[in-house]
Order: sequence, then structure tokens, then C-alpha cells
Amino acid sequence: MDELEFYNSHYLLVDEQGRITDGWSDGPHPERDTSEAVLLTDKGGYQFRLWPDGAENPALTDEYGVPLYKWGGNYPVERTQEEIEADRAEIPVVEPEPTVQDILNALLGV
Amino acid sequence: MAHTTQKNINGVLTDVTVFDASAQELDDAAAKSLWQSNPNLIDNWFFPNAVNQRGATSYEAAGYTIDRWSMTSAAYTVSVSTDGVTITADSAARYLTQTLENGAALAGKTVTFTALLAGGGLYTSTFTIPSTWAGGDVFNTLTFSGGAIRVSATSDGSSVMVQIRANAGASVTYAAVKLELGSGQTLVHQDSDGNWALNEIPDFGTQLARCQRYQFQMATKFSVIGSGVATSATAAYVVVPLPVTMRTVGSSTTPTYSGLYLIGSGHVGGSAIAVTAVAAAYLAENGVGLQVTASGLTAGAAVDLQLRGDDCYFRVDNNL
Repeated sequence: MDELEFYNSHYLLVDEQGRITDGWSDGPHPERDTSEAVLLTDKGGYQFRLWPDGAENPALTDEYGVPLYKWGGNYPVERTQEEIEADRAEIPVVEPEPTVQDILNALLGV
Repeated sequence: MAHTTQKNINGVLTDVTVFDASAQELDDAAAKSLWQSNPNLIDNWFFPNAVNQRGATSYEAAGYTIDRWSMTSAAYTVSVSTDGVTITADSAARYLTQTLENGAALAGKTVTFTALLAGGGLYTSTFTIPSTWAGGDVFNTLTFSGGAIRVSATSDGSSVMVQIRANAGASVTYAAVKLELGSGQTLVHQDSDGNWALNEIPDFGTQLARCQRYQFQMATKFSVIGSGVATSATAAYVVVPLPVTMRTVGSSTTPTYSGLYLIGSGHVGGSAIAVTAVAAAYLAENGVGLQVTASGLTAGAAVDLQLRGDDCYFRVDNNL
């Protein structure tokens, strides 16, 4: 084998809705289980990229944990803003913990 | 030999000492001046004291070995000793490879690639890297008995890589390598016995810092490597400080680890809780932020991240 032709494989985890929830390269992660993964490419570089000329190790979710990409069958595609907003709307709203002042106000009947 | 004469300097008759040098003395002086050392474009190039954050003395799988140097299969062995780094090939020629981060800057430049073997052999080659290239183009190969050194374009053509080789069935121990600008080597000089002697022994701390731009690993048992806060009973946000700014700031990374635990901040009370997952983290200039999963945490409690299991390590792999 000509060792100029050495490549790494890149993998994706795709959920039942087709959303990409994780991605990695077997360069830094050679022992990671790939049995449930989609093989994105077997001719990748050491670090993971969604596309050959894409950014290294891009964030795959937004600040709320909502996936930014989906699997297009043969390659990743960006999810639409509407799809992302719909996912965000499903995130349960967590009521803030009462502050000390809230508790005092409740006790005092304010 | 020297003699004194008088010269008129700025209107003042002044004694001037003139040193008489023979041709041999001039040659010797010129030779000594070659002991200068140009910057080495290769990281972690002095193998008897190589930066080896992964810590193994023998590598037998595809991936990174000593810092910045990678191998491509499990069919051969790379071993590390105080003599240098040894490539033991199987039935094929086998390489150790270092990819330069900014190889594009070498386009059109004349460079010299030199290798010193532990047994004393010296091999050096000067050539010009073309202005443009395609992925996989080989710029120069210098072969010798048992091995070779090669400079080429990376497979995707984005940069330049240097390779040191052991031929099929051979075992070669490299002591030092150098890629430098210009048409002459400044890795070694000949000492009075005619042996090759290095012009420079690199400072280990400087080499370590250069390597940590690409990979950061800690593996000392019981060391606290970061601090943060539990955000729920099963999650904590922890920041691990970095000693140098890594190659890609602002990107996502998923560290690899073994034997990671969360303990109460300052190690006051409570028991160590095993980390079950570390999610993709954010690389900042001065640290890496981690989403850590465990169980039995107290939301709002300050926590420290500690290495304490057997064979524990924490690695951010940002290699090329």
C-alpha cells in the first residue's frame, strides 16, 4: 500500500427523524462503536468534517441541543430554520427556582 | 599570530592589533560558524528525548504515536527509546508521518531535509518545493540502505508532510530529523573525531508546548484537571484549562478519556463519582468546556474533575 493514500473514516449518528445527532472520525476515536452509525466517508482526513471542504469538527447542535443538520440520504444537509424552531418549541420550559425574595414575599403575603 | 601596527583613525594615530590567520584557520572558523541552527519546521524532531504524551514505549496500531508523528496500520511497530524512534517494518515499506500545519507557505521554497540515524548515518537532501501541487505529489525521496526520507503533499493537497521510512523487513532507528529553509543542513556538524554531532539539543518544554497545540493529554493519577458546577443530578459543566492555545479555537471536540471522576470541589466531603460520558466540548483559547454526565450529583454544587482510575487519562486530540 502506498502510504500517501491513507485515509480516515467519518461516521454519523442519525435519529429516527433523520436528524444528525453526532459525528466523528476514527482518527481521534478509533475504538468508538460504529454499529449504529452511518458511514459518511472512508476517504476523510484525521479530523471530522461534514463535507470535504467543511470546517473541522463543526458544532452539530445549537445552544439548546437542537440538531442543525439532517441526513439527506447520501450526504448531510442543513435543516431549515422552521425545522429547528419546531424542535426548540418542543423543549419543555423549566420554571426558574424561586428566589429568597420570592419565598419571603410569599410568606409575607406580598 | 598577531602583530601591532599604527593607523590614523579620525585624525588620531592609534595602535591596531592585526590577527594573522592561516587558510586552515579561516576554514576552521568558517566550519565553526556552520554550527548555527536554522529553525526546524518539524515538531518533536529530537527522538532520544521525544515528546510522548500518550506515554507508550511501543505503538502497534494506526494513529498517533509520539507527539505529531503517526503510523498507518497495525502491521508494523514504532518503538521509543533513548536511542531514538525505531520503525520495524513488516513485509512492506512503513512510515512515520508528520503533517505540517502550514505547508502551503513552503510553495516555491528551497528546503533541506536531513535525517540522522542512531547508528551515525546522515542523509540530507536539498530540493525546491513546487509552487503548486496536487494531492499525493511526491516532492523528494532520499533512499538509503534500510530506509528513506520523503517530503510530499498530503492526500488532499492541503499541506505538506514529511515521512521517515523503514524498508520492507528492515528496522531503522532515527535519532533526529530536520526540515529547514535553504540549501544547506544545520542539523549536525562533524566533531574532531569525524562523527556527526547535533548543532542543537532542543528545549523539551518548548517542544512540548509546540506539540500541545495539536494534542493535550494528562495522565497523572489523582490529579485534578478541571473545575465546574453540577447543573443537575446527572450533569455537570466543567472547564479544563489548557497550557497553550490549541490549533483550532471555537471548534467542537470530543475528548477521549479513562478513569475520570467528579469530586466535591476542594475535595471536601463526599465520594468520587465516576464520569459516564463526556459530550462534545467547546475549544476556547485558554480551556475546553465539557458537558459531563454522571449520577448522584447535587445541582448547584461545585465539582472538580479528577483522574483517579487505573490507566487514567484525558486527551484532547486536535492532531492534523
